[in-house]
Amino acid sequence: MRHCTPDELMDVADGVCAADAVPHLADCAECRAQVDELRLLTTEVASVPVPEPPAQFWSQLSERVHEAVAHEPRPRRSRLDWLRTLSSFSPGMNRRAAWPALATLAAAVILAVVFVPRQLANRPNVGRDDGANGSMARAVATGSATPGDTSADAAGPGNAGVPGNDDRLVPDGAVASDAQSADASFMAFMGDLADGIDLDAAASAGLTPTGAVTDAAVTELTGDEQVELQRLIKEALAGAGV
Amino acid sequence: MAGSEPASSAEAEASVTALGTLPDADLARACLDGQTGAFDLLVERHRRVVYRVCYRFVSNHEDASDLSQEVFLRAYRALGRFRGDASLTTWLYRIATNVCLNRVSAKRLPVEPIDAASDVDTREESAPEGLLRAERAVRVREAVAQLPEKQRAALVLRVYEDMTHQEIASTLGTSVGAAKANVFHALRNLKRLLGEEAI
Repeated sequence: MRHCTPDELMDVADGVCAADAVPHLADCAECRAQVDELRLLTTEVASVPVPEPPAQFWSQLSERVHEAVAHEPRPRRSRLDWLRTLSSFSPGMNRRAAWPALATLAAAVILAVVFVPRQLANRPNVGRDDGANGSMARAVATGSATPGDTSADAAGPGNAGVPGNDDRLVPDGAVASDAQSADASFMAFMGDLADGIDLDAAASAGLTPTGAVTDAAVTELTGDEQVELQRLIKEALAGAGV
Repeated sequence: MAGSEPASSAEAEASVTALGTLPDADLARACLDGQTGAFDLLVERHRRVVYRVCYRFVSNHEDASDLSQEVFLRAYRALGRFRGDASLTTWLYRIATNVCLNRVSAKRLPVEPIDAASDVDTREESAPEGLLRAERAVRVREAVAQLPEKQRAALVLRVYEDMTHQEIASTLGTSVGAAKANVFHALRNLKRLLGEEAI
């Protein structure tokens, strides 16, 4: 006879799952006793209160935090904060209202995708356009790409989920450094994104790149932010009919 | 805290009053925009929850107080990364849990004695009943304090903060199965630590 697993016992004890949904319980006094025991222990532990601190404690805590924070620099808005504007639009909302922010975002990406490879092409031994018809992804995925330093974040764990982070990112026969790998991962992301965007339509819709935003998009986004950027832009462009 | 200061105390008061009506996410943004008092309001709103979580981990007021301050300080520093897609409370839970886990792994914490830990409403209890209950509470706290870190964290979040196993998993960075197993083993270990009379 197979007894209940801890998972099953916890689910029944928590009420996540009804006892009669686990047929074994009807036949096994030992498992039923375990469920009862878990419930009683939970009740026992839950009944232990947190003592109320002295009345003045709360204001003292606030004051201590206020003083500690006063010595801190003002927290910086996340680089991704501007993306939240887009994610806050409900599906039924007129996406035209999102257009200015969207244009900035998309422009940053498009500029990176379109212009960075050109810059790379002008740099010796860096970048390579394999000429594949319409394959921007491959064009931008080969070689170190970002103008200026790449954020260390881009090489962090959050980058693991970036689409296209695979062997093709390493130039033939080369051993990529961490920085090169991070650059390549980011450019692969840009390339994958570009594959989903009609660049001509986007350009005719008035997407005008701006230097500062582009720099930020290219050099500062972390892996998670890149994924979020990709999702938001694709979603918004689809909604805007681009 | 750097920020734009209102010109007079009346304006400052009006500003704080206006801020007080904002939801947490807007307050966080106001803080990032440099509005003095926005973070103070967030602290005021969440200090009880944060203190309670910290106390559950460390079982004494002094450490819970220090940890609460540290939680808010870290939250302030990281405020720019608060995305607003989860509630601020959930975000603070996560910070508090991490801060507490770091602390409890760094040192053995004292559990408050009965007289310090018994400041709860006992109006309907006789004196002996109250004493027994207080003794029992201290024993349970001591037992919880002896649990391995992940088990203790999972138990605190499940039993005291009423989180689902999914939420616990998210907070602790584990799988749902691991979160559930941690609660299960925490309870089993508590039974052993408290002895048969626990139940």
